[in-house]
Amino acid sequence: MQSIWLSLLWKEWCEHRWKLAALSSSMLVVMLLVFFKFRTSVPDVVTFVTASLMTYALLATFFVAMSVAGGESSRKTMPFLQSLPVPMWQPAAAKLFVAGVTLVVPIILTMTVVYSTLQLVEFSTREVQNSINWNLRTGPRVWRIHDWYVARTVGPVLGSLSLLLWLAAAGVNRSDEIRAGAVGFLSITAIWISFAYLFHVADKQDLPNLEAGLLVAMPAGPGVPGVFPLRGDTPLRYFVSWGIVYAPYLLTALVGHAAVGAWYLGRFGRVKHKPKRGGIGQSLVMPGYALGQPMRSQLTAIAWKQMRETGPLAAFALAAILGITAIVLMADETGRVDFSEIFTQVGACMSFFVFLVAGIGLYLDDIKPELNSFWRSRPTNLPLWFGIKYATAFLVLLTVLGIPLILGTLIYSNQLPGRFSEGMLANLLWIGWFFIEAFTLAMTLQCLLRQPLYAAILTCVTLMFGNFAYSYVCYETIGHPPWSLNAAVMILALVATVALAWQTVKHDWGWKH
Amino acid sequence: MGVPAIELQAVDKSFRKNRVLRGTTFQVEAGCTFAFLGRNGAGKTAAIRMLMGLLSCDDGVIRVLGLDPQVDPIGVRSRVGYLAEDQTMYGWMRCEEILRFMAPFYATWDHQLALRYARDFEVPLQEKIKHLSKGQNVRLGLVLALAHRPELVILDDPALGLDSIMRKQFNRDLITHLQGEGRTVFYSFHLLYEVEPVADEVAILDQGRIVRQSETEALRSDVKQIVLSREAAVAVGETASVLQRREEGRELALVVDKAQVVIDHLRREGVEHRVVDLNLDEIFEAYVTGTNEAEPPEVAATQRIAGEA
Repeated sequence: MQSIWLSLLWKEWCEHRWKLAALSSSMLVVMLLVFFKFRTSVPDVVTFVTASLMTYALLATFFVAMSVAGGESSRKTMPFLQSLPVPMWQPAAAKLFVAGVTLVVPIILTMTVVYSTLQLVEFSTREVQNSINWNLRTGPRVWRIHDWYVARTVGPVLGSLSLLLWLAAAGVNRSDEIRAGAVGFLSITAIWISFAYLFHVADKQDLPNLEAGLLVAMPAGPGVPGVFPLRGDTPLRYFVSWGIVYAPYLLTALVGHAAVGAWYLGRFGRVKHKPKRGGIGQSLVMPGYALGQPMRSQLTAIAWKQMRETGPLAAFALAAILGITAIVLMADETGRVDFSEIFTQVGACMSFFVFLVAGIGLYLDDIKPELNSFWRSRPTNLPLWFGIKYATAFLVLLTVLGIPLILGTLIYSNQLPGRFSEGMLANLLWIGWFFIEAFTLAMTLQCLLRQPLYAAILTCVTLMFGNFAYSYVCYETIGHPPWSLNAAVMILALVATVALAWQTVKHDWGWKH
Repeated sequence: MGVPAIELQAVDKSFRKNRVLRGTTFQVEAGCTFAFLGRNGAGKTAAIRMLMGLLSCDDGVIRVLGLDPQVDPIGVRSRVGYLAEDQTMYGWMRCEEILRFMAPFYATWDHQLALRYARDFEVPLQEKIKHLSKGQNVRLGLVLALAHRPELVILDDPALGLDSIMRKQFNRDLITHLQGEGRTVFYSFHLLYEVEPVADEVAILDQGRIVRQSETEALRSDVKQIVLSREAAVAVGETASVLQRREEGRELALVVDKAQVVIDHLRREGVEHRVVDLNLDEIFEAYVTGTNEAEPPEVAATQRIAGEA
């Protein structure tokens, strides 16, 4: 390598290139499915492309940022990096740059493919135009397809980069990716809650100056720059005039994100080396000290361990759901929005994410090479280890997230004119299955791949592809599938995933680098 | 004679093209303190992981306390105390919590003994494992390996991370204590001078093969250095199994196995020579880096490098 920067960028490229390939191919597969499924309906294509990009901007950014913030510590390579004769901001900057490229390239690639396809496929120009205007809520102003292309590319790109910066800064130097992700997520939620609360106060107490100040400050918030190009009132070809109007906001966004970036660069690698507390030669167990009672059985011990590992994640997730619900309620000016409605909707969206992370986290530590040897070299009842870990984590998630969500749904449904219908029950069961399947599949793929990011991506793609394939086969053959068939397929899929997970853990299958 | 504590017969193991064990055969009798010696990458850890049923062998027979670790890994692990090389435990648990956590996994777990060992090894019970120093981590691992009174203790380089005082304490007190209780101790070690006083028997593993297994004293009396003039070296002839040959000025220093046979031969021939006793370190070096005429095909890496230079 010719320079320090080239060396650092090469290292990061080697670590990120497969993530880039995985994210790009996942998005292209999703786009392929979208075009295939909605080949006769442009509005659906446009809507699903938008939804996919939004989901990508949130999920992929989160997972890439997790590895930026906690990857080196997790792999225990931080001391090596610290020993290099370069200031730590340089590897940090290289890491952030390559992570940014990894996130941005799939967005540009996806939108370019979608744009080209919309141009090539024989959709009527009028239909495409109407769909785009409807999708962007442009009102009377007419947007052309390349405006849509630019808006839907620039928005997710800016949103992703902003989120990446915030998440990396908030979770920097954590001991592993999951902790880095959890801290980053909570920090961002806390910032959004703070903004919402201050807006609420400004509105209720009629404080226009505070409200104006908040509006100017908001673009510095996590992910907010991604919203600018999505505004439907001005096509981006008028970017210059738009930029002049929104100059204060742009300035805030730039200054705010520069400050966050500086924080990340300044903090990266500054890991506190805590003094070892146990003194050498000093008797650390006082005479008369009694150990707590041993745990009664392997079952109790494994359940206790798993509860300690999954419990905090579930509790944090519930706190975050309540926080976001509070944001929405405070932001609501009509006063007609119901707590149970928002709680259920926010909870349903976030729970997928939490079940996914919890599934990955179930064996995140256990399959690390040194810990894998530790618990496997004990006389562990392997079926019990697998079964109790799985059941305990699932029960913790069900108790902390599932039951409140079910209660929220029941309360909300009783307020609806039609009350609780059979269709709602079916939807509820389907969503429940989807979460459990995501949890189980994430666990299985984490055991096989031993890489949280790839496990997350592959889980999402497999679930999406599986659902698509099932619905496509059904509608092409028997039409609308009966409820019993759906139930049978769902149970079968879950049993197959659990069986694969069990075999993976039993035989210690997986990519061992 | 009872069932051997450990028995390996013609065990082969490869990781893709890398053959780590080649027909490895050795036996450890019950009650014996057995030092398993070898350079880094010699295959010690792979062999130990097979004993624990954590790896399967490609060929050969492995028995631990009469059990096949592949068929009955739980049975083996219940009766064996194991400390892995650079063992890591759950960082978020406190030392006390991991003792309570591990207790139900062993039917023979003795909680009071665990407390006693924790006190003896100065383990800070209220501390989280992630805050322990390397030495404290090893000592906690030892408590976990011993608190269920195992019949066989397998320690994979336990000195790693222990300071010299703790190592001496480990060898002098712990191993002696375990020997006193009649336990079998099988441990890999790289500090040979510390093994010497406590090991009943040693096996030297080099490039996947056991190049020598012997009682420690027998090994020391068998392997000696013979210094003689270069011209006189011809007289050694076919009688010796030369492990290492070193030229020192006009003299030649040969490390030979079955030294007494060579010495008797040289005396009969009237060849002037000096006999130098070797410690275990030097014997080990002769076996793994010397020109082993008994095993000529394998040339040690350091020797190859020296030759190329």
